[in-house]
Amino acid sequence: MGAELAFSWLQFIGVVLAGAIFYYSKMLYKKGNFKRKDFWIWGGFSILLIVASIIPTFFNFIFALFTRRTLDTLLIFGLLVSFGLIFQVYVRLQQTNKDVTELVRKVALKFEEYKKSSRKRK
Amino acid sequence: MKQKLAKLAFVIPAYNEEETIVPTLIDVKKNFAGAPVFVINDGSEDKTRELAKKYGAHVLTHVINRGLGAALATGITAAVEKSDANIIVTFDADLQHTGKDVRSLIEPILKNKADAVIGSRFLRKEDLELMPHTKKIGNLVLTKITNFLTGTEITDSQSGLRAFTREAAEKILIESDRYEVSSEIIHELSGHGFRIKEVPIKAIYSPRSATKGTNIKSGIHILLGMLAKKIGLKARYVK
Repeated sequence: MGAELAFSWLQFIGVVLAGAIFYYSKMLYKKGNFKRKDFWIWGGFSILLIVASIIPTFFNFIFALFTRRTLDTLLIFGLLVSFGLIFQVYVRLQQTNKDVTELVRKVALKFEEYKKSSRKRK
Repeated sequence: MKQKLAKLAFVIPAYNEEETIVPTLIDVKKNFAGAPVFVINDGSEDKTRELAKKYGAHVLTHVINRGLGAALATGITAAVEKSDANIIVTFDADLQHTGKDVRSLIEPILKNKADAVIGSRFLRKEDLELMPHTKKIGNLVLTKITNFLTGTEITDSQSGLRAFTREAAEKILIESDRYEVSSEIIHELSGHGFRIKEVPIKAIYSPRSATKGTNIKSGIHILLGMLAKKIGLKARYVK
C-alpha cells in the first residue's frame, strides 16, 4: 500500500515537472530566447516524461531491449543525458564568455577612437 | 649588420592600479619619450582610468573585468591598429618592471636576431633571489610544462615584460582571457616559427605585486589551456 502511494506521488511529481519544463520551453521559444531546436529537445523530453509518468510501463518495450530492469536503464540513460546537458551548458558558457570579451574589446577600441576625434575638434 | 630603427608602442594592462599606474607611466615616458602608451583599464573600480588619462596614456576601458589575457589582446590590437610602431612592448602596471630593462629587451629585435623577446627573471641569480618562493616554484613548473608542450627552451614563461615585432604581434592569436595568456603567447610564437630570445631583467616585488599573478588555480587553468591548444581544441592560426 505504502509503495503504491509513493509511486503515485512520483507520477504526480513527474507530470508537474514535465509540465513546467514544457511551459517554460514554449515561453522561452516565443520570447526568442530558445532556438527551435532547443524547443523540440526540451518540449519532446517533457512530453515523453509526461507519458512515462502517466503510464509508467509505456516504454518497457524499449528498455527490455537493453536490460530486464527498467530502473537500471532509466538511471543509466539519465546519467548519460545529464552528462550531455552539462557538456552543452559548458560549451555555451565558453562561447558566451568569448562573445562578452569580444564585445568589451570592441567597445574599448571604439571608445579610444571617440576620444581622439573629440581631442582633434578642440 | 643593419639595425632597425626603434618605433615603440607600450601595452600596459591595469586592473585597480591607482597606486602604481602613475610612477609606471612616468618611468616609461622618462625612458621612451614620445612612444605611445596604451593602458587597458580592465574594469577597474578605482581611479586607474582617470590617472592614466591624466598622464598621457591612450586609455582603453573594458567596461567589465575580463582578465589579463583579454586586456593584453585588446592592447596589442590597439597598438597594431592605432600606432605605426614596429616593436610592441608589454609592460606590467604594478612597478615590477623598469623602463631601463626595455632597452636591453628590444636589442635582439633591433639587431634582427629575434622576432620576440621575453624578459626573464631566471637568467641572473641575483634577480631570482628577489622572487617569492611560491612564485618561483609555480613559475618553474609552468615553464617546464610550457617548454615540453611548445618545444621551446624558455626560462621564464610567465614574465609580463615582452617585446614583439609588429609582424609577430599581428600574427599571434590570443584566446585566453586570464593568466593562461603568458604560456599561450609562447605557444603561438613558436607555432608560427618566430625566433624567441630571452634577456635578463630585474623584477621588483612590492607586498602588493607579490600577491598578484599566477597561483595554483590559475596554474591549473594554464595547464588545461595549453593542453587544449596542443590537441587542437582551440583554434590556431586564424585571425
